[in-house]
Amino acid sequence: MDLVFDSTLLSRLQFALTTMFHIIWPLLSIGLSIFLVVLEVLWMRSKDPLYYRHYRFWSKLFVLNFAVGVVSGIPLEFQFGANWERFSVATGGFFGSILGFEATMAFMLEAAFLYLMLFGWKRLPPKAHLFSTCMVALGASLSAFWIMVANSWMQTPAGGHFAGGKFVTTSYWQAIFNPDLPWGFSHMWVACLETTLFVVGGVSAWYLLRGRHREFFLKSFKLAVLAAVFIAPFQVWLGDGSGRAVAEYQPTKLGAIESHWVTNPPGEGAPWHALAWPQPELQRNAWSIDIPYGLSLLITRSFTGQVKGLKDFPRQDQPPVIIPYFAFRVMLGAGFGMLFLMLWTLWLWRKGRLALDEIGNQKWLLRAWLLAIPAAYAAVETGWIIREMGRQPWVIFGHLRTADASSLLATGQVASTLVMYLLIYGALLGVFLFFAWRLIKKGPDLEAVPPYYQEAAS
Amino acid sequence: MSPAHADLALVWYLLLALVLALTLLLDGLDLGVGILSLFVGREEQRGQMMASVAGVWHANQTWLVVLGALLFGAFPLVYGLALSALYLPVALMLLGFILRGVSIEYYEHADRPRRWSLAFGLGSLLAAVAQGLGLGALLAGLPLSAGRYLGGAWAWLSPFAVAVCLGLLGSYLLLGAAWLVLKTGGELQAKARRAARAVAFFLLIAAPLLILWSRGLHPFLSARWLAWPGLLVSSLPLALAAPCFVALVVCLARSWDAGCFWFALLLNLLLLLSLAGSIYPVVVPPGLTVFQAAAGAINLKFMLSGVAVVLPLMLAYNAYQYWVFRGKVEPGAGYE
Repeated sequence: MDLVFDSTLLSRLQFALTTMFHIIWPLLSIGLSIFLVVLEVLWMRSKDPLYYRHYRFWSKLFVLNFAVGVVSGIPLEFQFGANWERFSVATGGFFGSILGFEATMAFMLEAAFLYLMLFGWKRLPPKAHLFSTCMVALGASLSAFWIMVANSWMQTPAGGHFAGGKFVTTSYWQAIFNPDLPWGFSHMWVACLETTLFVVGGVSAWYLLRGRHREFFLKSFKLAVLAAVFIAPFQVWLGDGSGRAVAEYQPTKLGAIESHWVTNPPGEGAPWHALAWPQPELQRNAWSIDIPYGLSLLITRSFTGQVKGLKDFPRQDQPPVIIPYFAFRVMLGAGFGMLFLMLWTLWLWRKGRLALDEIGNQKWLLRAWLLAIPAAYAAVETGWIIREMGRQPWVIFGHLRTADASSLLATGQVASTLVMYLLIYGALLGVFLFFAWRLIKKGPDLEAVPPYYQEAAS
Repeated sequence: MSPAHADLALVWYLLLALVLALTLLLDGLDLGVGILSLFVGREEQRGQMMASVAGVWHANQTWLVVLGALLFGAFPLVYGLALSALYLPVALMLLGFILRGVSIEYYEHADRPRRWSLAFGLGSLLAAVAQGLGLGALLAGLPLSAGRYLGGAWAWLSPFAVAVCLGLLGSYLLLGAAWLVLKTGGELQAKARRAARAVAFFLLIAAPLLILWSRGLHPFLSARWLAWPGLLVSSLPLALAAPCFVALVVCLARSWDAGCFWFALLLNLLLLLSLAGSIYPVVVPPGLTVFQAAAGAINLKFMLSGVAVVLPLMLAYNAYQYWVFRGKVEPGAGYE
């Protein structure tokens, strides 16, 4: 019973709940803000009011999404101190200074220019408005950068040493650009773009399926497909690179992701367990469907390259296996699914099936695009589960255990806030879905008159 | 601690005091507007009140996020101790912010606006009360031993914390009312003017009482007030607050809207300055000083080099934002 009601465990549950809920929203805030920049530039160059109306339509969805992202994100910053006091003190100011950069460089930029962008159509000259849109996009992506710096430092701490239980920074450069950062940030940032393009494509597909505003939404659908051509394969490549970095710097995490127990002996290849049932208590898999040499090839690019198995590490340093293993398979499936959807769409486009009078007949394609929306979100959520669970039992990999990082709180305190967050975040999700659904049902304002360039358009 | 490290700690103390002042003054203003909206009967006027802060509330709230993050970086010990000791008030404050933030953004889409304006008012009240109790608990002092907090879940609740909370509510209400005097006209403005006057007189009585009470609580504060230069930094702002109060009351009587707003802002700033001046270098009474709580010199220096560049930019574009959204807000009108 003690284990179940342990306040560290409750703090972990609360952190998992609040971050897994929060991460839903920055995906669109980051991606849509860049999409809005693209739309505004297209509009300013072509003077075509269609782009302006797209901007207005998607910016409404952007605000609904952004509002939930902001209010659900603020508790995270305060949780470090409230629930993870010993972690906060142990990072010796480094971690906090990174959050400080995020707040001052990114968060405020976004907060101030968002309202200039939303309410400034009649108050700002055209270029100042475009500048505001750009600053919102810059703020959103910078915010992602600093957050990923903080998180990747917890994965592969660098740029200093621990003395007396506290991190002493010696090189900010090395700490910021720690080994995990390039992969961690790029994989996540591209995930934001990919999720956004499948949301834009999926919502557009919904209208195309219904035969509403076909001309209008065919435009955004094709923009999404074009973006997918670059982004979907790029993300698969980044995922592969991330996996190899994990093998190098966090071999226990890789072992958990692949349920790989035994290091392959020299001259033999490590198989890839495509599907298996891990039994961590017995340090093996009950059964597995293997692809011979698969894991060696994936990680080392050679048939017999050595990949360390979990059994090489003491039990108390091993992360949980079952959840990361299956979460990885979900992420992989979603990522390749989106890649194939892009290829399928491209093939039909080449055959002329995306023309205005043809697109309505591509029911299965459009339904697949609708399905890609939850798939994209599932890929991000499972990706984060892998990343964070795979780091266990460490909170700062190799240096500070999660069990030594929490605040010494009474369980009742943490339990009460956990329930509070469950209720309020549930309500937030409900409210967002209700209003977003209403917004989508209502559709875009095809009569909206642009504030500038009316003469050119008429 | 080397002298250079101590200087850095002092610089960060001053910077954080500045960000705290921006948080309390600017976000205080829209929290005050939110609380006042609970006392307004007509939906149209509540909408007008929300519209008056629609363009700026989010940036104002972000100062608190900036404060939290910079405190984490510069004084990680204070950040960890204060937030875990004040666990419940912090959670309630965050709940208040969630209610306030969502309701203000979703208000214009709502079929039943009353629900959302009520959530806006209650969220603002909850956040303000929680902040007041938390601030009061910090000023009352946390039971610490060897860098560990020894109190329980409810140790933050004390009569003194409640008194500080009432004082902070008064301060927010004054700022909110003065903002409405500046941004609205007609009936709503007249109401705001009456509220501002009532709250100003409340503060005139409450502020000296709170100062006396805190001196009774902490002997080191009394010592500070009797010796040079502590006498100057803690009492000069108070000496200036008196004429400022008179000017505020005159502006309210003569309907000088801009003067009313600026004097309300200045009055609150002076009270804050007096507070910061009296307790320095203690950050958590009775015994935790900035020097004990500071992060490593390299952290303070690196952070300073970033923030020294960004902070002026932040202030500049925040000011630009206020400039773009200047002018009165009409009843029933949002921004477009």
